[in-house]
Amino acid sequence: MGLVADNVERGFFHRIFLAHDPVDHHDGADLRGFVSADRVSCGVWHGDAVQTGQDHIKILLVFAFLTDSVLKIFGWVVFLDQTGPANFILAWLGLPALPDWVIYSRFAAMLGMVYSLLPFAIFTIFLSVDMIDRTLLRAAYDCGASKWRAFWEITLPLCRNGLIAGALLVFVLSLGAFLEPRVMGGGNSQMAAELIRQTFETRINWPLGSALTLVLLSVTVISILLVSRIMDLSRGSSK
Amino acid sequence: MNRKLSAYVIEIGLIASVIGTILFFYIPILTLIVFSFKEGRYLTLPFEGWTLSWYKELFTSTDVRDATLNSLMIASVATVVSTTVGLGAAQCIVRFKMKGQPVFRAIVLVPLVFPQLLLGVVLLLWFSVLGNLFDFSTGLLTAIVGHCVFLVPFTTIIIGVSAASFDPSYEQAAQDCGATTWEVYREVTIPILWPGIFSAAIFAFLLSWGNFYLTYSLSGTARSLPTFVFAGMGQGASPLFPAIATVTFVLGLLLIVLPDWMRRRAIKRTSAPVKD
Repeated sequence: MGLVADNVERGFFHRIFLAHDPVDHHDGADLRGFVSADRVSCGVWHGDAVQTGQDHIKILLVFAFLTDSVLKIFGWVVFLDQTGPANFILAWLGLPALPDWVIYSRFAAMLGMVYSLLPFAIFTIFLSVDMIDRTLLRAAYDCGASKWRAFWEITLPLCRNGLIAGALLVFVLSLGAFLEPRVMGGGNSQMAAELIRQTFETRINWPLGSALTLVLLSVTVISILLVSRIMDLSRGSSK
Repeated sequence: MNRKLSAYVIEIGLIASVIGTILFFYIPILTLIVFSFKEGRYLTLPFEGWTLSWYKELFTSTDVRDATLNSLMIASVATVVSTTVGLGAAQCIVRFKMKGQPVFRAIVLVPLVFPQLLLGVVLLLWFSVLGNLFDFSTGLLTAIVGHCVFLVPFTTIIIGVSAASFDPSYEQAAQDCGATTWEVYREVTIPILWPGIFSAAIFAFLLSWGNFYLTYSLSGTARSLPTFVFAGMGQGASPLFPAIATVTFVLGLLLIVLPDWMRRRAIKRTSAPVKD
């Protein structure tokens, strides 16, 4: 439990605001040459190209993450609509139009959820990749490892906990999704949160609603406990 | 040679994935910005022409004005309250070694993963029970309370991160020089924690401004901007909504970029003499 909380806490919330953290920018100057000299080969976080570029990307992502979710989902609906820009661009390129199932479907609901929850995963994984000691990668390159091999044998194992924590965070948050299935899913892919809301508000069956809420919360808590167990065990065995 | 080539390919792939991710994030945002300038009633292509009339309507419509004022009201009150409470909670977590501190930490952090919609529903139950007892109905005030409940964990963590790197000997020095507790807070603690407090406040404001779930459940008949947009989406939306979105985007971007830019300037100003 502690580890997950730590990762979520530092990974997500600390890193989001690194862009606003004065300390970071002071050693940012020293890191800059180091990072660009090193060019870490990590496919998980993309921002490692150049430090200044990283700051801009961070700000872009934070902004996209913090804007009004209703408006963003609305933007997707407009974009993917039959007469919307997506089909217009496809027609302009001479490609066939989008099939029906792209909007107001289960696929659309999932697309919307990926869109809304991706920042949580990126910020969590970013921290764990960023915490990796870059000299390890340097050592691997000096020993003749290719970029791919260094990624596979050093970066990936070391950011394993970050990957797991990111996946867990997204899973837990997706349990409570309501807006995306409702708006992009077109009402035919109801999810748990929507059912619970309806039970309370339109069917006014409070006991059933409470029971459903308890089930959903148990799933959340059990998955957090299970995953933190996996993470703790792996840490123990590697020592 | 082969190896260099593969390294090159990987590099290209990484850069392409960055660009792809950014594009993915900005597709809906750019779509809305473009559509806000569209002439004609419906949000469909092709464009009949470009116009600013939707912005004119935006600033004259009373519905939009009411929703904006409600949003502003909820967001500012919730920001002030949750930043203050978060400051206190962060100080508690970081400073004081007390019994049951892990439990307190867990209790503060758990609401982060609690589904917002359910938080709204559960609070609604509470408010309807309390409303029957004390004779009030849901409205702006209940929405503000709900937003505070939602925001306090966020502000606590953000302020806690900057409080964790705080050196307590500054406070002790101030105390040794004869400052009272309140003076220590006002002259030492708050100024040092200020960047964290400021970030937390901006974060809280934006989260509250864009919050849909809680306002939807708790605000009764009062509408904030997100619920106004949600209600308008169903019925053949006009470019008025993209215009609302564009204004929101511009203000949000300013709120994120301006403090950063100001800080950079401040750092430049303070660090320049040192370099010379």
